[in-house]
Amino acid sequence: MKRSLIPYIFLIPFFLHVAVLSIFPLGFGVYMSFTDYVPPRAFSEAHFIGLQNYVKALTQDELFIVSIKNAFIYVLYEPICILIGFFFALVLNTAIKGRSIFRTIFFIPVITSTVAISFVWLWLYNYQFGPINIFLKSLGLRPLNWMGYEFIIPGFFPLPLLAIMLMSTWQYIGLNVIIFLAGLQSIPKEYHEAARISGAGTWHSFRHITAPLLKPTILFCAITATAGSLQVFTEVYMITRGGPTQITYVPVLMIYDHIMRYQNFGYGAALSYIFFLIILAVSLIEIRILRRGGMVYY
Amino acid sequence: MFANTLKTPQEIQSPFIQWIPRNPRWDNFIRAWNFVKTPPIWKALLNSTIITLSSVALQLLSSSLVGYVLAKHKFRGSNTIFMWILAQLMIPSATSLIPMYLLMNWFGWYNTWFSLIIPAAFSAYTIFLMRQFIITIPDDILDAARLSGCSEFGLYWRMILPLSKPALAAIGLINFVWIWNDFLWPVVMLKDPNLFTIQVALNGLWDIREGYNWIPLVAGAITYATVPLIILTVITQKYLIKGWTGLSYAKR
Repeated sequence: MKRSLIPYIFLIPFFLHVAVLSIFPLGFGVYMSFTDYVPPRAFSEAHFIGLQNYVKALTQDELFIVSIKNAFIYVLYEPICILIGFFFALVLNTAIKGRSIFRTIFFIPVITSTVAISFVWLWLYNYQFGPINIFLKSLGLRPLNWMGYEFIIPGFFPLPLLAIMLMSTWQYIGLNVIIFLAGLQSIPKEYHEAARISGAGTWHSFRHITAPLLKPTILFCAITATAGSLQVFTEVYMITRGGPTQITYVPVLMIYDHIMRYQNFGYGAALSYIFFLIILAVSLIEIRILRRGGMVYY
Repeated sequence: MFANTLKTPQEIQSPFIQWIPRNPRWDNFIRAWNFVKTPPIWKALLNSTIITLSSVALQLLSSSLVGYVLAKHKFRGSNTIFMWILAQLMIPSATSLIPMYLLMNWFGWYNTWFSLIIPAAFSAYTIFLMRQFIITIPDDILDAARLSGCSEFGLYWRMILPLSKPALAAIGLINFVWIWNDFLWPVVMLKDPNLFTIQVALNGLWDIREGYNWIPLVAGAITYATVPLIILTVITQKYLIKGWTGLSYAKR
């Protein structure tokens, strides 16, 4: 056997897999988004309707606009999560004993399934007997109807969405703590010692050594998490199912509903591609920011 | 969660938070075990274990082979393939949800485990990470093996795989957690309760989430569903955390 052929032979399964399960679905989806395909009709009976699905989604479908707005609001949990994670990492970094135990404790929510975590938070948010409302009542405050039709910013920021964001913050703090802890430990101790000898206080050495050296890590965390967070599904599905009356709808949940509930595949495919283009645009902007920040590893 | 399992419905409703229940109801754990009927918890856990283990094993083998070819062979088109893999990392999985759903129906894989395992056989992440690792293996070792008559596949099987054990362990663990916790694709694909993964089975409890009568039992079911992974994490945390802090942050 000729040696030059070997790589191709090894890659045959990979090529098959990519062709059938990656490229074909992507191309087929694009075609489908230009049709009015609705099962159980046969696909051959679907009509080619040009850009109608796209026009409808962008101009008439208020729900789609709402869902995209919600996805972008949801992403805002990320900076908060990073800040809190950073704070915990700083605290943990000074602790000498028990660091690995705390690391495990912080990591458990990260590896626990969102489905399970959602049930716990549904109980925490319960109007009558949820610990959060019990706590609010004990402070003499009005209990909040976390899952109800209520808004923080009327017509824009629903309270249940905040509930979902708080849960995600809690779940992913641990990931940030661990990433920052690794970052902090990669800073040579000599830097801080040199700073101390030349008379810098804790705040100064944080401000001028720790913060600048960790800036790339912070940026990297923030940016890579965005694309994943925009595609939020399980959290919303488990906490609110998009409700009440779809005020917490998000794009992936909408696509899911177009498969499982409405069976409106042509339109659903168009939604998927608009959403894909939005994520792509966000990612490209972020990569530019990364490059400007002198990042090489993406 | 653990504490809630031990409570009575009355205690759940009490206006004071009790972190440690006064009269622990240990029998709730037994009741919770039998509480989820479609499918029983043990069945869902077993399903999840089979699906996850086979997906991870298949993915590690196939993706490390691709990673090896990309890292150690020069051939026409290798750059194109690598660019495609990087591009794959940027394409959200939700984009192809609808076409994939149809495709699985055409293959007759809807409502079977094939639809979960086969698409996971190659992962751009795993290929990328394995390539990065295998590139650090010195060429001299491979040349020496070649000279002593090792076939190209033998090279992969006897040299590359054993040498990549640390990377395989770290990546395998991350993938295990991801696939175990995956929800969107299984909930779309599986219809028969007997095939449900543990996540899809838990989802079946959603309709009774507000009933205080059920909270101890729901809490018990969740405890059963999460404890295996928590134990795994505690045992393997060194590998797991090391792998996770790398590239994996983007995908969750």
